[in-house]
Amino acid sequence: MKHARFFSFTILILFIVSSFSYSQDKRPMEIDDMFKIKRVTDPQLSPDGKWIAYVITEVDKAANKSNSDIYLIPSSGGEVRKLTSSPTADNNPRWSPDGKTLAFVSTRSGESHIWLIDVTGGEARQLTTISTGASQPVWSPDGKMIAFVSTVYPEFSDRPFKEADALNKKKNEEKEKSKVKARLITKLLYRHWNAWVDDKRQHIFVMPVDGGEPKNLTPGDRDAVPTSSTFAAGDEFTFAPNSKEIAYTATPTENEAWNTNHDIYTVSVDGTNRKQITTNPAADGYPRYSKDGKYIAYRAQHTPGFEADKWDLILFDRTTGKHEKMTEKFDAWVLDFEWTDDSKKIYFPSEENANQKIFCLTLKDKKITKIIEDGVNSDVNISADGKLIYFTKHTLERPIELYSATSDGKNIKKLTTTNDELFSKILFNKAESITYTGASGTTIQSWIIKPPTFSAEGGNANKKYPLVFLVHGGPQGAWENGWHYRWNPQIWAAQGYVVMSPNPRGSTGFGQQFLNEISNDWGGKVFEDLMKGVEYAEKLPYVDANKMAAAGASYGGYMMNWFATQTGKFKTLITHASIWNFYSMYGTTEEVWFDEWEHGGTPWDAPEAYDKFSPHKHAKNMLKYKTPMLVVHNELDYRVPVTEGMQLFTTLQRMGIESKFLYFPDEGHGVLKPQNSELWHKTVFEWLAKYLKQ
Amino acid sequence: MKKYNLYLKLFLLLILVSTISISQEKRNFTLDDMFKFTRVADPQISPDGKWIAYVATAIDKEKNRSNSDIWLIPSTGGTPRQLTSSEKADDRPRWSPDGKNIAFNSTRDGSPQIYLIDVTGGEARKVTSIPNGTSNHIWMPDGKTLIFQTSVYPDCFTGDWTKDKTCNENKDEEKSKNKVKARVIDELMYKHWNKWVEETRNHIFITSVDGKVVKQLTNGKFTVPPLALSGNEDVQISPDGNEITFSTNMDKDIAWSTNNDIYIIPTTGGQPKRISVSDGADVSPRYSPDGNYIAYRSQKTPMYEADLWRILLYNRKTGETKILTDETNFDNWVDDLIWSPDSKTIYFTAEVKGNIPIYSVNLKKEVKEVAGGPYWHENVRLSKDGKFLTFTRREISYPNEVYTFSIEEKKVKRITDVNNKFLSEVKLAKGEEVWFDGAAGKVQGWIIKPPDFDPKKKYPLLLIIHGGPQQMFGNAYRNDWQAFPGAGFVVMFTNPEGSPGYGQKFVEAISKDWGGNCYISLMKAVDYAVSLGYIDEKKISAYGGSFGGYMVNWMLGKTDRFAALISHAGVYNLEAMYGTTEELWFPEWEMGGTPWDNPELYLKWSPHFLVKNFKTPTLITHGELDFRVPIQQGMEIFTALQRRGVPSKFLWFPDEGHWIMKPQNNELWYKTMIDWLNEWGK
Repeated sequence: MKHARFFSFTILILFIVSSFSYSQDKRPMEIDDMFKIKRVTDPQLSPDGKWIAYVITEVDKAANKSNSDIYLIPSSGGEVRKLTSSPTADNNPRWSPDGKTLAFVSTRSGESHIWLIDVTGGEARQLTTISTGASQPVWSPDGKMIAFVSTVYPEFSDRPFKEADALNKKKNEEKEKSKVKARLITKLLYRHWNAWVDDKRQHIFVMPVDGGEPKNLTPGDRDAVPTSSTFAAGDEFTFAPNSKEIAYTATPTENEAWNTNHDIYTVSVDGTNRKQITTNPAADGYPRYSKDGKYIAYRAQHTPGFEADKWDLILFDRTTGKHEKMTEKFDAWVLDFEWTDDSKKIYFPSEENANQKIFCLTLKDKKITKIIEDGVNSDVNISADGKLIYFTKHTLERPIELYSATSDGKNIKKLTTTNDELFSKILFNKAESITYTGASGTTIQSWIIKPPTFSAEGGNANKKYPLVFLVHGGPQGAWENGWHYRWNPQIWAAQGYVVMSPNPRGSTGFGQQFLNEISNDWGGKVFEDLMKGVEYAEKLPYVDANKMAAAGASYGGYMMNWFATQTGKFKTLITHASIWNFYSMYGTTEEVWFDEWEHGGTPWDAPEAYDKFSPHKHAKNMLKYKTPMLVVHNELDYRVPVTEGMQLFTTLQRMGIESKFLYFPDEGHGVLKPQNSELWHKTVFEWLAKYLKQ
Repeated sequence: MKKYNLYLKLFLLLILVSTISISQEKRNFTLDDMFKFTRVADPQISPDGKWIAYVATAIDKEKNRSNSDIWLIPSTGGTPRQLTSSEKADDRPRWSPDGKNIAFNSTRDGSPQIYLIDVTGGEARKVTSIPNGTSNHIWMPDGKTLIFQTSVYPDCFTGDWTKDKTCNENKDEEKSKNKVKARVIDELMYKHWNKWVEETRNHIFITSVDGKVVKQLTNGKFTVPPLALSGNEDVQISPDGNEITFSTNMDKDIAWSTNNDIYIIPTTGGQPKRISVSDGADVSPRYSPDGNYIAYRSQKTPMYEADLWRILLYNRKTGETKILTDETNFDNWVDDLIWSPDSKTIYFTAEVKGNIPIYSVNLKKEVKEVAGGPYWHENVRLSKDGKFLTFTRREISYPNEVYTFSIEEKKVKRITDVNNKFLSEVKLAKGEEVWFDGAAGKVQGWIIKPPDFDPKKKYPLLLIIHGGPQQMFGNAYRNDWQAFPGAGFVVMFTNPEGSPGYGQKFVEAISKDWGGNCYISLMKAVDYAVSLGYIDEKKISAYGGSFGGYMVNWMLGKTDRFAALISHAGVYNLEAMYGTTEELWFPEWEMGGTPWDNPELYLKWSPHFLVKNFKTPTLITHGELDFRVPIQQGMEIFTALQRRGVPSKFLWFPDEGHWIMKPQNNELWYKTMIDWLNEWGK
């Protein structure tokens, strides 16, 4: 009883406080706030453990661009110092082993190059001058070399550096000057994500830090880093502790468009002695030497062609040549990981139950301990003595900030306050994690985010709100307890909607079996999972079941198109970068392995699977539901080409179904430019209001 | 011995003769020659009949562009005189009614504008300064005003051009300054051919000849001339200058409507009044000189862009319309129309059996051939006194020149020789007309042999397939029919099912039967070529663009007979094609409905279901600005070819539409095609 009274007293106080703060200075989030948020990324702990270098990216909406700079903060927290200040992008800060210098990537000279800056003062100086640009600096442990990545023409890559660089320069200039802009394409994966490949390759170079000639360590017609972000967890190459060799992740040797077989190689820094470390026919990557030099730990998948296969952590014993799986019993993916200096433990983030948590693996017993729980946590740095960890964290209520904790995950401390002032003014409701029963009795997790005005307007009993149902992409992804810069549930909720964002079959972080069950079943059990979620929402006392809309991008867009052919539940659908016709999607996307895996083969070998769940095959049903649709698709989207959206829009218009097509000629799969993003939000919210608020 | 001596002497003589002939001999056609001849077009007879103004266009390959200028030549022949000489395009010469000036279009200052030049001398002066440029200018009979079209924002219209001009300029400036280049699209036909359709629409304007008084005569969401299926010269002025007639499509959903109609409007402006009655396309209105009639071209069937083009006659007094030509008296497509001065006869051209002759029809519906032969007669004009015609004419081995034709004497005279030098240097291949048994009756074709053809040798064959599918190949000078023979290939091209010129039934035979009889006829064309004895059966290739590209894709899935294939802008996945092309009436007509209402033919005729048969090495070429057959069609087939391990390449032009137009792009295109044929088909 005492307890109960205490609690109700507290709640009363909280209620008073919160209504007070709302009326005084807090307001719902506005579209413009999205551009005021500063993004914190890439924390790097100094070798002496005293400093963290990191990047803050700020948006300049009027100039329609963003700018990144490098900052320093004491690792114990405190005053932030801005280290670089060019109006162009400064990224990827990397400490020299002696802690005196930071290498970073900057476009200040026009092209991307590696620069060095003395941490104690003085201006940055340009290290690389290679005509093809440089990125991803990695120091050798002895501090004498820097390895970097440059994109070059493979046909010159065997030649001495100066000659090769001159030929690269000449070829690029000739292309630039030529009035003929045609491309003669001889193999697939000729464009990727939102850029043309143009038969160039990403190679790894090493060069002395005191200047001198870079050496191409990975010549030939093959990329030395994964070109698909699906297979990259960060810097995919690293030096051995003795600074004599590097390990790197190379792309498949053949059939790159439908092959996921990345392998790890080592090569001496003089370019000799290349060895293939892995022979697994699926993807391997992210090699990391243990500090004692005994091991290379890396990530590995097991099923060739399956990009969303479980990522295990494998330990390669450099002496015995044995590969040992360390995460057999761990039913989640190992993301980017970090060794402790004593070579006994590995820390790694992994998705679990709609959060991205930090785990610690003890090598000797393969024991995996959860260290950090809530939010989306990444970028683990470990102090030299192994006693402290540093990481980034974001939640559904707060963008990324830097944190520290003791190695057992206790004593969590927020180090940066980058967005505190902005967020002190914004009113949110904390997202609620709920579960419901999906297809075949499986438990499905979902987030529910109420509009910020919910409490002020009286809560549950008083008002019913329209619902916006968000479906995530991937499909192997998840709505996590993290801050989203593009599909941010809070900004949707701030429009006066209850937002529901479920994690149905196919979502990451709920075990591999749960994830596997979407492949070859795109509109099957996952659709049932989602519709059960809608039923759950309909029963909520504060949801207006007659005013529900759904929105999604990529696979989420596919699901909107599937909804359009399968249900009349929604007043409107918003479909972004969506797949409409599995056949044309197969023939125009770049990472062909994805479609082949998801639909069980090529369209000519498995036409039934392509027919079964392709929305275009069910178009006629749309006449039954006539759900108005907003179609968003962008010209530079090479993953799901714009012609998917065009086919859908043509169908809608020809059927006389209310529809609009928002087309960005200068955007890819997502909308990135600030003013484009603003138009995107305005158009989407106006469209929603038309159908949910009238 | 004697004999030997004789032989030796003969031999020496032969060597001597051949050396002499070599020194004077013409060279084989090379790719460079595609850019070396001059194109002539748009001859215009002066009101007094003494002069012909025409446009000559030369290509500057290094600069990657062409330059057009206006020339004058006596209509009886003689020395031509260059009237304009800007480095930009000067074209569309139009004589003032008094014959003293020529109004022409020029891009010398940027956007195309109307200029006026005194034919007796002096520099041109600028008439208009219209923000988005002018097109299709014609003189009013009073000689004091001109009408033209330009694109404007319909929202800007108040009727006061000084205000509206500012409004248009402001909107354009706002747009170009805006960092957001997104489009919010709420209806189809948002792109067309190779351009995005902006909010602006083309409308009819009138300007005083000093350019000071400009007035917009039409406004609204429609566009003049119509976006699709326009005739040429779709805006005309009545002989008394009081009325304008034009063609446009005012349907709400123009993406699936071919319903262009003929409208009239007073020259002072006002509401357009529709005078045509067909639900199909009505275009090319022409006032009779006596002012009694408007003749126009008309299709009967809505959504059928390849329907028979007939001549309809609208009586301006009674409002009645009668049919002047249809399948009963002329079963081919009527093209350009010209009234005789006495308003009793209409001259017209039409594609017939590989040629474009000139015909006439009188008001009693009697059709006669006026000028024929193995030629294409184009740009036909009639002198004011009705005594002679002028036109450009070409044949397979002879590029365009300007000709006159006296109607009474039926005498043809070539009056220009712009390509004399070119013709004296280059061997142009000649075409041989052939008829062979197709899928259902005789089919016409042509064979073009390499210039040095030796009947004892075997040659590789290249079958060239036309687009449309409702288009006609024939007796015309074309680069491809010279370039491939010049590179050593025997070229064959034919007019299989779907081709116009053989009666409307033959045109109709292609619809809903894309891979059917047309394919059989093409394979029979190859049989025929092989039967001639000089074709190497193992070295037969096929090349086609657009529907021709579709047919190549179909062949890839249907036969292993070809050594190499080249598919340009080819349709591959009919369902995806439907969803991405702009003129929806076309697939809906050809496949018998939408893919959701009538899926059968979309599935039956789509090459993308034949991938498992793909074996023939195939070159794919496509332009990224092709909004008719979007480049994703080419991407899809290339993906399938690569995935199947079939030798293939993809030549991708980011700056071209349905056809490859820029000189250096065009050169690369031909070079890549010939390289491909040399690698696999020779």
